[in-house]
Amino acid sequence: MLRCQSVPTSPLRRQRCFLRSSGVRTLGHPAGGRVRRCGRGTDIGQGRPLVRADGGKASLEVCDVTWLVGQSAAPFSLPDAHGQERRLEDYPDRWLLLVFHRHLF
Amino acid sequence: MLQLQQAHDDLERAKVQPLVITFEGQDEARKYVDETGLIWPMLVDTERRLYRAYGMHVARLRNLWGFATIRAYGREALRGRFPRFPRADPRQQGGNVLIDPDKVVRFHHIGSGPADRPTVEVLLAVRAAVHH
Repeated sequence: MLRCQSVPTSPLRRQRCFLRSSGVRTLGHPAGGRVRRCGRGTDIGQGRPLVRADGGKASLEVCDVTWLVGQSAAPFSLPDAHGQERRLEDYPDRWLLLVFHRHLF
Repeated sequence: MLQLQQAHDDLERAKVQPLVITFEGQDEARKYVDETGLIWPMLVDTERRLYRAYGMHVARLRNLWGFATIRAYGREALRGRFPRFPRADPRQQGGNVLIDPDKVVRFHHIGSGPADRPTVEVLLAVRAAVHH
């Protein structure tokens, strides 16, 4: 993935750099309003944040990744708290609710 | 999490299996499960690959310490539950992802701060809207 060689000083340039380097698609007109990114532009192809523009109206910052809805779930194989390996395919015929915790304590 | 645990029966009836994911280590996860009596599996994703796969990255500080956060912590304090000083990365975003039995994402939400989580009603409404 392309990355900016140096961190631009102005927010707009940083935003453009981020868009260029991560290939994030935008809604609205970034040049016409304040554009804010959600998260970091890493892991393109797995989890790609969608950047939205507010079109110069009220400030808006949305972590809008609704494009993920309707897509296949990301496979995983992770140990649980007791060391048992859990995988996505371990739960056939079940709905899964993944609850991503912030810090625990 | 408390609200989710209280809705355990509703989730079970809807055949929804919650999996809680943390980026902290296994020791912390085990301690958390022991202390809180968490009834669902807690998966340990120290490399945060699954977090990133669902677009959960690092939040802005103003989102973490906005009015909504203070209000949420205040509400918890009134119930006698006081937050502890975080030992792990407090800026890591959390969220909820609902996946149907065909392993297709049906709902996806990234919390903009500690107080931003979908209600159980919303999750069950999404579940009910998709027939399986």
